[in-house]
Amino acid sequence: MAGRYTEGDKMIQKSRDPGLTTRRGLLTGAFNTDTGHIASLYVQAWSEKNPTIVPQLTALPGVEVHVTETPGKLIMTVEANSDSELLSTITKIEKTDGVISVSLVYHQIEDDGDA
Amino acid sequence: MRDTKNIEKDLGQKKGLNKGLSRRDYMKANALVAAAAAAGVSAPAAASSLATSTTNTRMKWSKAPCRFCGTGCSVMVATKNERVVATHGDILAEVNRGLNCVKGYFLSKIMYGKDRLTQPLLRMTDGAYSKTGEFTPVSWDQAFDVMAEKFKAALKKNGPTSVGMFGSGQWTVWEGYAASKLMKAGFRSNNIDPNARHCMASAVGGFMRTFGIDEPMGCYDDFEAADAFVLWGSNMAEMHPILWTRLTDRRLSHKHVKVAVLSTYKHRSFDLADIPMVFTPQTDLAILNFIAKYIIETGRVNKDFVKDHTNFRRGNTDIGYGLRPDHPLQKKAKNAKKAGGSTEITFEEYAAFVADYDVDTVSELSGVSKDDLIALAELYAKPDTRVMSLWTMGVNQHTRGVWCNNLLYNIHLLTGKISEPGNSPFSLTGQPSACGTAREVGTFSHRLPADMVVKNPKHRAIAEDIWKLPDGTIPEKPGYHAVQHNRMLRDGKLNAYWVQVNNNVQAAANLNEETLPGYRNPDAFIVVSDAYPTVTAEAADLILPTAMWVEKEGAYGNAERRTQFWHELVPAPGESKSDLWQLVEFSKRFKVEEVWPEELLAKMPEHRGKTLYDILYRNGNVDRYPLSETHHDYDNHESKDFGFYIQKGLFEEYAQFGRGHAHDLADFDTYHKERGLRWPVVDGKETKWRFREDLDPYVESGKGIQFYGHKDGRANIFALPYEPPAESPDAEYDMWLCTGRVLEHWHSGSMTQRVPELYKAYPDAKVYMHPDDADARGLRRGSEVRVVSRRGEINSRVETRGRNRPPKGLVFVPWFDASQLINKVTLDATDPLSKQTDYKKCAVKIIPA
Repeated sequence: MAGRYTEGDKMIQKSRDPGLTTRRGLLTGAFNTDTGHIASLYVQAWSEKNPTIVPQLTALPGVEVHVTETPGKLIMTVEANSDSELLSTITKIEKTDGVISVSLVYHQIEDDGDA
Repeated sequence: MRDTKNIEKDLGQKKGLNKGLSRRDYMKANALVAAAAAAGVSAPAAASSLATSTTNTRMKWSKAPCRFCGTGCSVMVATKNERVVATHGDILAEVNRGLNCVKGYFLSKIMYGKDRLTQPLLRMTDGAYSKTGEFTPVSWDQAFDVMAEKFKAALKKNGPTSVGMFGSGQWTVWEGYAASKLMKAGFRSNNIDPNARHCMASAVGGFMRTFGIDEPMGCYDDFEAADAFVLWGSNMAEMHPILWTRLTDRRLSHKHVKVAVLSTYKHRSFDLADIPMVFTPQTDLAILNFIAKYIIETGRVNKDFVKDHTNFRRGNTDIGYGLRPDHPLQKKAKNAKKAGGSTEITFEEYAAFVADYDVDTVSELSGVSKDDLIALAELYAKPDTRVMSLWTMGVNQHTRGVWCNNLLYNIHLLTGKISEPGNSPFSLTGQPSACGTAREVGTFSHRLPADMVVKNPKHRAIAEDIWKLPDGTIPEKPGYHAVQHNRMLRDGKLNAYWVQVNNNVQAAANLNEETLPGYRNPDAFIVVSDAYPTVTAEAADLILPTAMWVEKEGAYGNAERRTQFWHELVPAPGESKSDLWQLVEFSKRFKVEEVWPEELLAKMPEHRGKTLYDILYRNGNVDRYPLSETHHDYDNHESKDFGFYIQKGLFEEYAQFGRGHAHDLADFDTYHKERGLRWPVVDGKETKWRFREDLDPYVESGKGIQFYGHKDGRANIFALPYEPPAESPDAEYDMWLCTGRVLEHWHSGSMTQRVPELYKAYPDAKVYMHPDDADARGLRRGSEVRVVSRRGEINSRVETRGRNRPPKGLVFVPWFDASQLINKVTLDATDPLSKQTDYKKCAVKIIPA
């Protein structure tokens, strides 16, 4: 059945090939490799799990947990060497048992000087 | 206070705040202050002044609502050298209070994908248009020449019903309004429908049927007032993350607050659930009726409220599935042609109707335990528990979506838990202006602004009067709805067709059998306006490059009736032009004699010899405000081109429809200053809760509650049954398929897939399935599989351990990925009332590839 409209299928196929609609090739373009990314996160988590959550988060490279006393709220900063390292750290925080949500509030790249 | 001390300690002592500070320390202080403020933890004075001292003054910061979902977060946008260089959550915005989700965080990058379209592209062979030609760059003049020729040919040969337009809940308010005027009054075709048909049509149907007026009575302030939250199919943790932080904050900081989450599979929102419930697809209808029965049976009906403010009605049943009329399921349906009918009944008759939905029956049907069903029903039944119900696509993309909306209102009305802080049935939205544009402007095939409809002669007369057009200009028959568009393209009934701000080849169900044959039908000429070469653009005959988001002045309306404006902040690349410019400029190509019959023109002979541009946009309303009224700090390309402040003129003409009719908008200039206002805005004041005296200026004194959408001031409680879905798993196609979104990508991914960080975070769609289902098929995590339905198939990879955990017998596939077009697989069954497609249920098999 899927092969019934070959013209259209080809057209869609085309959107995956180089040319006018190169998608993946373009999308995977070079990542920002500047050093000195600093970000702050507002993390919501079950407070009763703080004793296990906080050590796990602090153990992640570049992570500092600054505020733990307000129920349900953790305020932390992350230092990373690249965008992708920062995102990978955020993903690890999201996956930590007891964490409900992670909001990236602020992000600055040291070399660039722009927030 | 301890929080503050902690920050001071971090900044002052550990980091040496009072000594020489490194640049990195300043950055960290900035970051920390921002996060503390966003979380509502007070920041120390020392750190705050630090943040100010490093604020970069080379950039210009302006406000704009986010480009993505219907939450309506406000973001601050930094521009430098005519480029957006940064964004952050707007701390002054009530909606998001300085927060952004990960998509919003990378907003600054959505306009800079490397394959941005910058000039019109026409399919050509040997220098002339040809349906089978190759895309070739052309000038705007050439593009409009060919386009006008095709529209005129269609109008001449087959009349107004042969032209159509597919718009969007991502149109700005004035783009949707200008489009609606061009189609309904200019071309005299009601074949204009927005992609919001796929998204919000059932919600609209539910509101109109129960209350007679569209959009939620409550607002986001309900998040801080509710004692219980019930998610009906919604995965807010991923789809409405900022509202989820507000809900989470309420739950984590108030021990008595309860969260119930219902879905057909487990997802991230279950992490917060006190009552987690996975139900069999379609049985939400039965669960809702069980709750109604439980409220009645345990004597917790709010009798005074019900007596004074509601009516009871029995809706027609066996209404079909919105398929083509020759489909066996349609032929079999008794009331397919009278789907919307209903008759008045008594409370006693209603009680007898829901009596069938006892806990044993519903537990067995739905797969939810009896204890959980009762715990859920108690949240609604207990008089002192303020409850907020939240839903989006799970309820709306449903062959009984309007019913499901009606049944949700039933349980809030039976208990009187409505129209006050914390008691709130709340229909969330998926697009930034599904409410503001698609619904309020009325860009649906049956609607006009301010909840009016083309079928009603009085409504048409009001529109013709405001638009200064002869009586009889707007056709009375509703046009083709979204799903019908693709069918009519395929059948050769729609011959000239314009798509703006959406990606319907990827979005519409049943791609192989309806969409593509429609778009590639030689009898159809397809124009697609987009910023990127989406699969829809690729399936078109003419592609128009489009200015997006802050490349133009705009307005969006979010899910809580909040209207928000932004200025043009950067120029669009190359020859890109906004949708508004395209619509209005195109109207110059038509002499009224070419589109209107002589008898209509004879009623207003002063229009003779004019163009549609003159009649629709130079009518004394739209061109009323001079260029000098545009903001001196911001550019405005469209206004400069047309020679008047077109956005203001369109908005003020449009606002005439709602002012004094419970849809009041503030004046244009106010919105450029405010972080949005929730309508109706009366005497400069927004309205947070509607239908309750003292909160809503439209409720008459002494009434207490008044559902003024209906003449008798009452809301309807509907008796509507459980009916089975259009397609269920069987021996061959043995799994349910549910489609949806993921956090990192918005809708078809045409923007978010072009942000490298988001692409990398979630590159390819996957098939989420239960490990036992994988085992039974000899599959494991990462195995390549075919997802096959009766209509088509895709290849994908198995995920058994990810964020979504389906029960046995169901798979979930996100639809953002253009290399895995899941809508080849889905079924174009719709709700017969709302015409909205059910993307959440069809039958598939999973085979090793």
